[in-house]
Amino acid sequence: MLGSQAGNSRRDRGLKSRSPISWRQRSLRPEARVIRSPADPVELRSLSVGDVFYLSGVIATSRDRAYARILLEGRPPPFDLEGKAVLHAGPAVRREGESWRITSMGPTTSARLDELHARFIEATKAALLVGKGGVSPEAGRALASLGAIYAEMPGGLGALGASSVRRVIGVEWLDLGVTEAVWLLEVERLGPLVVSVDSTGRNLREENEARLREAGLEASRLMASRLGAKFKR
Amino acid sequence: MPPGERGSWERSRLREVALELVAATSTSLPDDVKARLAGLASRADSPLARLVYESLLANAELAETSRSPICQDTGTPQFFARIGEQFPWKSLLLASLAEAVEEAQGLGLLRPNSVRWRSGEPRSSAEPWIHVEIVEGSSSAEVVLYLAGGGASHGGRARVFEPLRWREGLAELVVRAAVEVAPRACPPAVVGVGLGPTAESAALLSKRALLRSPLGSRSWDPDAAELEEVIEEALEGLPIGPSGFGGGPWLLAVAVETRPVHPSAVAAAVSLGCWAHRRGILVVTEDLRAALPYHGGREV
Repeated sequence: MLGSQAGNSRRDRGLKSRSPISWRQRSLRPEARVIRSPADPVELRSLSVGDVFYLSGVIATSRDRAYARILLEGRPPPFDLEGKAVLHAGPAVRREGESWRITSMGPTTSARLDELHARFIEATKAALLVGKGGVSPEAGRALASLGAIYAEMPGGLGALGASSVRRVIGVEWLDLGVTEAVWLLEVERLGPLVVSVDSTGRNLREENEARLREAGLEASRLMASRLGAKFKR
Repeated sequence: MPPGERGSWERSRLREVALELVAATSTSLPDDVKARLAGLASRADSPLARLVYESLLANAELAETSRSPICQDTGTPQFFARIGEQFPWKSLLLASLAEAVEEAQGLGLLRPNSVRWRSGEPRSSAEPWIHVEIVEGSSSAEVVLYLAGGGASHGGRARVFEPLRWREGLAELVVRAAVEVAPRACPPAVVGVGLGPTAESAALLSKRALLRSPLGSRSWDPDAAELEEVIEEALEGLPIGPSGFGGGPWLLAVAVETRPVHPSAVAAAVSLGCWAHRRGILVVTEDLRAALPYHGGREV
């Protein structure tokens, strides 16, 4: 199905028509690198954990149900994803005649699919995954062994994400609903994105999670002892 | 009165103001939430935490000016209606909420999120949750709407403790929700805690705590306020940070709501809320004048 991000003059209740926003207006780090999708493998290897970048070019969305269709039901991906970036996302959309407008698109939690990321890369030959919340150490190592990169977009950046969509190229698997369908999009400076697993397998989340577990035990003890002192039995 | 069925003007008016509640809640943060986020942003230490806070604030501003959803995950809309006993349009008001959700989905102001539990297949109709209370001696109605994504819902939990064990139990329950879920639930987060006689009463109280306004204010009840302080002190130092990256504050607010418990059962529950704390309130009078007090008090 064909789509478009171009507006039209239909009755516009509840959603005022928008003037286009240039990347300069929404770019928080104009000096940061821009990675193209489909991606240059040499460029991806030069990214390190913690690097901030933006993404431009053709990307696809995929989340729980699309992963399941491709990997558990064995169906071929609905678009050629080779070398491209895949965003873990289910956008909010609006139908405008025969075309679609993405009204909000930020990332969804990547860890729900930790067991499947590496197989997804093998099946689709995608080069870069983008989501939120990080992936497990095992999932990160498996991605790195395939030469793939995983980056994070801060959760909840729906308006910024939608403003980077220049065109809806197409959408497939709409029987899964607009959230779980696979959207093929042309984006300009989607981000900011942070490298979370780089090609060496380093994982932004790994060190912090060990620290957090220990801090949690301490916080739990502290809270219990204060509650015991203040709210006596 | 125009021709047509009785109440047809009232019906369309209520739909209009309910849609305005949904649109405002999905696309703009309440004034108190914006202020609280800006306060936390100024305390971010690491460059990454600063970038996240800048992004959140820029995103909220862009959503408001472009009237697009702050976050694409608009959750399962949850309405909390307090309806005056003398408010003449009770059932029309409740019907208008579900209709407004459906219309907002068509406009791209909400994402359709209702799927079959068995198959995950999308359902065609919108199915918001609506809680109703009747208020004595009032002729107006107040409807609070809360939108939060699936990630935040994963923080929800309830346990029932024996009276001698609730202190340790509550500490473990709250800290585990923070450590295990908050990093992926789009922090900075709001932590709501409820104490009551049964699991479902505590869970509802924890959601009411989450919706406390203004954000960050203390309970009127000195015991609950003391509990809020203990929980906040223990949680705020956890190295979670914005987006779970560490390097800055992660806690937007802690609020506690309590009710008397049972002599042999203390139920405690936690609700987590994400940084995009989309809480709106619509106040409607009996002659259907309406306003949105959390969004600058604007009349609709």
